[in-house]
Amino acid sequence: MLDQNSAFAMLQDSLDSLVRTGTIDQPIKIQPTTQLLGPESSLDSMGFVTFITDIEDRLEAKLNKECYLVLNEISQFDINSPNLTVDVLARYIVKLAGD
Amino acid sequence: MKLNEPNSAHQVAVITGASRGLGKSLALYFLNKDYVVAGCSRGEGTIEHKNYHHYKVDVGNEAEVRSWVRNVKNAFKKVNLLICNAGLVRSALLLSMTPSDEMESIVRTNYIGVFYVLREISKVMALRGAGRIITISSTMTLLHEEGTAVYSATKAAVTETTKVLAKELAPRGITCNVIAPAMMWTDSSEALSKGGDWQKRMLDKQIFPRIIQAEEICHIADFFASPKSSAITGQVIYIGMVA
Repeated sequence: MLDQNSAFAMLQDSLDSLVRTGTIDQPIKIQPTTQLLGPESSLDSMGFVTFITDIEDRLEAKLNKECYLVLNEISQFDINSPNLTVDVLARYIVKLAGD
Repeated sequence: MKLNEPNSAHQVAVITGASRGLGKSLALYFLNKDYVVAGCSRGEGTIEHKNYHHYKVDVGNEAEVRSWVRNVKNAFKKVNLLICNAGLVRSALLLSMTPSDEMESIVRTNYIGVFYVLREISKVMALRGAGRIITISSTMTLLHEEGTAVYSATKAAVTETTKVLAKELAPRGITCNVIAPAMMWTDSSEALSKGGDWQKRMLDKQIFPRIIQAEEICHIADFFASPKSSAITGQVIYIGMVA
């Protein structure tokens, strides 16, 4: 199981690790409203893909089961106007962990 | 150290359709070059080698591909080279006579399967910031030959997808290229040629009217996989035909 705070921490840890590995240039300090995907996001497209892949790895290690983040499973996600905030992603991760 | 530098320990190659034909030849070639090869096919593996690992996967099944790639990633921690080889060469029916299930089967294996594998493996490569991707297309896309409407369309789609992916993945140090051979002698083409003069007609259209050997394709794959090819991406090499 995973709660919202743990999910937030996981997202922050992942972003920090992507800075360390040079995948993204600038540190990102997340807030619930921080955009991870969309016009205000600091991540470029491949940065976002790498971030999601890293989150899947972390979830799998933590939960000891295969986890796939599928964006169109998120009710608020509109594939024609891609936009994702930390809060929405964290809620989805908590739900995924509980399934 | 970047993965494709020459002194890395065992490089890991993932090859689809590795149990026979070109896929098997590619697997043996890269095993001989000291790669670890994770091959897949819908059936059992046919290669006995200490560095060969076979997985039974239907590449047209999204869940199977996801799970397989996750298993490969957990087992080997990296993928240096992907060769999307699995494909169907079936029927030479005119479009007007092609049953829907035949069309869907070819599209699922030749394009949708390639899409699933590219999507999942590219994420593994993106995370490590290096990799080589090779897809297998066909010179059929140049010929517009009767009876190949579905097959050629899937191969053209593979070529275009690979070029787009080359642009998307370039910032992560990953190259994507296409090998498009003319007629090869495989179980599938052998079956097709039983229908008449198909083989002769195809060879007559080639610039070198002879069967393309698997070794020739391995040579091109080796070129694309080389550390010295790090700036070569989005390219198509046609073998046996002038594009």
